[in-house]
Amino acid sequence: MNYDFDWGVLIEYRGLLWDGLVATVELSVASLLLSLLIGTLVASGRSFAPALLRPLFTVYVEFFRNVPPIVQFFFWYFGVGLDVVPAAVIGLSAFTGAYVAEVVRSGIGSIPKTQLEAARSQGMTPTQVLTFVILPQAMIRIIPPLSVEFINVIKNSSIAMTIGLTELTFQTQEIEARTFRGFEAATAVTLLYVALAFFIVALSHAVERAARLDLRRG
Amino acid sequence: MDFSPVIRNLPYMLQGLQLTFLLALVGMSGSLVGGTVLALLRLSPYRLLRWPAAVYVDAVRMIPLIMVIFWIFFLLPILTGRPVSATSAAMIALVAFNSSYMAEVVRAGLMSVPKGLGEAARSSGLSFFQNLLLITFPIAFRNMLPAIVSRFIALFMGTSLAYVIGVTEFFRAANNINNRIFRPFEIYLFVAVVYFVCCWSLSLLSRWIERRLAAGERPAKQDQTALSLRIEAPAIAARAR
Repeated sequence: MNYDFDWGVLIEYRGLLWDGLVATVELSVASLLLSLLIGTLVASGRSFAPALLRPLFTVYVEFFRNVPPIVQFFFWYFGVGLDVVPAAVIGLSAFTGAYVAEVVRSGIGSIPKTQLEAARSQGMTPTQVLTFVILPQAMIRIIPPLSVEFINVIKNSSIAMTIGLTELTFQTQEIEARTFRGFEAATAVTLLYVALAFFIVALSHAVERAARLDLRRG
Repeated sequence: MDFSPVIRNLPYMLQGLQLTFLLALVGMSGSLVGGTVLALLRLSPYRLLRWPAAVYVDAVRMIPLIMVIFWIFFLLPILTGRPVSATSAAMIALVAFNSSYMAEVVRAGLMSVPKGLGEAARSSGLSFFQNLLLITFPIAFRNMLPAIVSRFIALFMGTSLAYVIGVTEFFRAANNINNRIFRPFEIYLFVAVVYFVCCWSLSLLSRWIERRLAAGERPAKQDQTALSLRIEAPAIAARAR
């Protein structure tokens, strides 16, 4: 192995890496929020919508989680003709939303049915029961699996490079193209992804603790 | 919408689909072996074996598959001193990436086997590997099967990323067609449907296996004297990407 490592390129191109990191975080956070919305609506729909409409939500989940994200990105970008950022956010949210829907559904399923019956017999409407009784509790229970989804969103956001979104992985290729230092760039970007994953694990622990305390205080 | 250009170019795309299946099969068999080795290392009593395996499994699961593909593509030429073909780089990356997920599936499966069973096998004179091959694995495999199929779905979708280093699998083949005839809406919709049909039938298979296993367990539960083999399917590993 005779290869001269030149870690200096990382300092020289730190601006590219930083821009990439910011783009990755922005895309991931936007997509996570949107997919939480989609996931909650779809999961609620699957459990509480009129029986005739429920298959629609099931079809959504089954379709969007069984099509590779890269195909979804290309479809929105080239097929529908959206701009890069909307195509990436919609593609990533639609894919992740299907997984989040399954997570939320398991959270809803973990709340005893007796609570629904008790709340209904107090005179609450089904929508009230869902928003004030079931979802708040379900959301706290699913914080750990949601943090896994968050890490998955970050990992899948790398695929947005294929439609030209200049996130972290894109910058790896950019540095490689400019300096032929793909190895060094890949090392730096890999470490950044690992750091992001660690940060999310720590964040989810903190959020879970805060949420549980909040719930106990009422 | 006009799908006739898609149909006219079907043979070319089907060739790509063949390569996709090949990548998926190589990735699957490789990561079953790799995952088993990693799982055994992680369960070993020696810290020197346990720790490197744990670091590898946890680290790889934190980074995107595209990064792993780039790694292999950039790193291998440096190590070996000559360029690797994109297809073999993709295969190696798929195996390296999915082995770490498979390791967790296998580990959960192995841990779901009652400890007494292995101890009984060892104390009746079976060697370490005999116990593994004849007693522990067959039982663990049964519990792992749904999670393995779920991994296969994720792996199958992952093969589409070989596109980034220029492998002409199904997605890239479709892309090449699009570059020629420029029918993006029809082509990517068609590609999505093909992937959906493949992955969804796999997920139906996984659900069917799960149901079959649940049905097969009922008599064992009633028989109080028999060793209870009913163990939760490794749910954590299911559908993890």
